[in-house]
Amino acid sequence: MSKKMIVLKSSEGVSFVVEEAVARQSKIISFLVEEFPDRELPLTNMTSEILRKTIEYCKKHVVEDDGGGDSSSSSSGDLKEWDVKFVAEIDQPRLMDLLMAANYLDIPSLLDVTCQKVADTIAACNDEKEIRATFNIENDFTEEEVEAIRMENQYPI
Amino acid sequence: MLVNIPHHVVVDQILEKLPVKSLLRFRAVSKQWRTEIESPRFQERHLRHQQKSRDPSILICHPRLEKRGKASSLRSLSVGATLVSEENHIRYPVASKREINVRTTRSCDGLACLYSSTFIYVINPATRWHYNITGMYKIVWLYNSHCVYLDGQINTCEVFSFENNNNTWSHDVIVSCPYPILHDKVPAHAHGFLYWFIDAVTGTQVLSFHLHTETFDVMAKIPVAYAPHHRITMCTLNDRLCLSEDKGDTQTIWSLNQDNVTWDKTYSINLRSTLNCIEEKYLYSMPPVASLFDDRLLLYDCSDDDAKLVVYNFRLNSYGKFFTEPRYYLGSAVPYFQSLFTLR
Repeated sequence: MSKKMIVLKSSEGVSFVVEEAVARQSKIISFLVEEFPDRELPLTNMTSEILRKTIEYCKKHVVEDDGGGDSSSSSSGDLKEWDVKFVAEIDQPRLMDLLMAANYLDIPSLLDVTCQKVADTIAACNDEKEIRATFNIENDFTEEEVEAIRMENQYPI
Repeated sequence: MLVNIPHHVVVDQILEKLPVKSLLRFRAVSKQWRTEIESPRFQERHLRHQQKSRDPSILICHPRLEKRGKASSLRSLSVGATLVSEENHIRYPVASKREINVRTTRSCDGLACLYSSTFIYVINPATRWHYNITGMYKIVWLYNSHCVYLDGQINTCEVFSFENNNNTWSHDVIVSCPYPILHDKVPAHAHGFLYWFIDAVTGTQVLSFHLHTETFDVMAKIPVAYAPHHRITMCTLNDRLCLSEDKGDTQTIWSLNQDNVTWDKTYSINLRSTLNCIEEKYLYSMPPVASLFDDRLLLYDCSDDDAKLVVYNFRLNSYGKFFTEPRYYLGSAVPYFQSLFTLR
């Protein structure tokens, strides 16, 4: 039996043909293919690069039903390692785009690994200034307010 | 760049993954971050994430004051893949220089009580927040009245409210208990219940107290047969009441299924081959300190004068000994999950 395929179209109009099982890890796509079968799905807010990355992730994580119950194509330990490598190789702007894609397409596990990477980046920052600079966040505190928070963290001994 | 990401993703998915220490400092990033990190909704969510994704930290209380006599000393340990290491050294001020017996309770939502005969602090070891208890709080006191009144008939369980401002006690609940309480056994709490061993004629039973309804109940059927008391202990693992039975070579841990009040045999620890601690000095096995990810338990090894914390993999039957302390100190090891909680 040939596998069912669907077409995903990026913002540049590039078509990606993927197995339905792979694409269905996105809850949004899963919903759409049921509502609109045999349609190609335009993803106008995703670039080809990010869509390619997202599909790469979904291919790795697809759970194949081989008749003997669900079995993942890889063991969970290997998958974890693969995930870490997958996000480590992505630079920060693209990581943010991928995180947005995971959020938009509703792929919980991809959202989790990308958010974990962002959390690790935040935790590695030395102070609030570095976080603001890294993530382009505006400082709306006065110097005194920042000092007050710093003091609060020093519980008296 | 983070500004492009929907706010709920930043808060719910990213910030919840950060350790407490980072969150405290990074409240200074922006007003929005500060408001979120300090909100009860986020703090609850953060704790749940810590509980399901991390191993607990371990709190060790030194029962005696430091030499200068002004602070009680606590250490917090973090459990790594194969290593237990010191995370934090926390000192709490105490009122009297004569405090000689400072203890901690078990923890709940990242909070624990540090207490002696003259003070009770609620502490959060992760944030170092602490609060000297005033106002009203309740104490559950169980005593065997035949020891007190010598009437030999009734054993009593009581709940008191203590109004700290007026220094007055009032009775809330009094029930009689069919059998004496085993007062030398450490009680446990799980899932909104407190538990004690009681000594029925036919064997050991468990007395429970439900904190919300303030009702007592007796669990007559427990999986451990009548045995010398020092071979049975209770503890809490994964928020379930556990009974530990030491049969010499093996230690069996049973855990209570709250829904249908049945007992599951959860762990069987081969003491002789793994801990190597059946020796002259080794009198009985203590219950595990905590259950960890990846099929591991944190155990005590009291085989010699210095006690050790042991990371034990019960599937591979392998272990590593870490963190040596005089036995007297280590007995107080309390697992807790790092949280931002305070009392409001």
